[in-house]
Amino acid sequence: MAVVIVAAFLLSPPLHGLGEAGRIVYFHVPCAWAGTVLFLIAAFCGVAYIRTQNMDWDCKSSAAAQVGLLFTVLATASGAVWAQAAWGKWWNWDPRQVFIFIVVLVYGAYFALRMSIDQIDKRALISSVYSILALVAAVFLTFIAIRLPGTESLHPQDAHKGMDKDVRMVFLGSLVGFTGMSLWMWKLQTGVERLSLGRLSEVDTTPYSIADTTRLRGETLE
Amino acid sequence: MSSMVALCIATLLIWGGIFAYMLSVDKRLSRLEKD
Repeated sequence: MAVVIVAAFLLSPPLHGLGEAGRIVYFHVPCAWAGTVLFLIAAFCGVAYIRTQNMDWDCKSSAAAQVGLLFTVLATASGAVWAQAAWGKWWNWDPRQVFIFIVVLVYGAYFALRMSIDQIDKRALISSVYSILALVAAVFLTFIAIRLPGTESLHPQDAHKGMDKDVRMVFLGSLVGFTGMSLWMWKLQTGVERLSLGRLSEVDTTPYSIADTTRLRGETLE
Repeated sequence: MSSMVALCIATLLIWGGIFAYMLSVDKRLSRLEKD
């Protein structure tokens, strides 16, 4: 990654028509790409959980969604910085900005959903189903909705097609580097989720039964 | 905002965000292992 950063700043020529700020493409696009890859992994692990009911798949799915959301937020924020330099406004409700913001909200809701369910197996099942639906929404908003009539965007489209050989090399290096780093972060986060699940399963989360409640009430009355 | 300043802010934002996230993961991992 250090080589990519040096190459992005010093070795690569400025991109045509985008100026110095165009170099953001070496970090912004790979961030968005890593986010999409991790959302895909989250949905795949969700499917695997539904099929096997193995909690390890839920740990992997949740970890992938967390790291994926981080990269999507970073892509959104870096895109806003580029928009300020190129368009003169941080946020101008361009369709591309709106769609990625919706994706962030969709995955934010995924974690709100997870936090609202105490039962571990129920939480895993519902969030697995949600991760699949969230991926469908993310793919639609990122790749399909942006090409529909009426959603014309100022965002550069297919910039990779007009890249010089040097620019393309740095760009591909950055894509590979960010993908590898995001997968490593996913692996670490999965370890944290497994440990966290181990701690949770040691705590008795079973709700009080009616008998327990009556007994407790009786003790209080005495 | 000049082009170069925007580039620097975006780069710092991305790497700072990744670094902060990894610090939080490390902190959470240490706490879980300690428990």
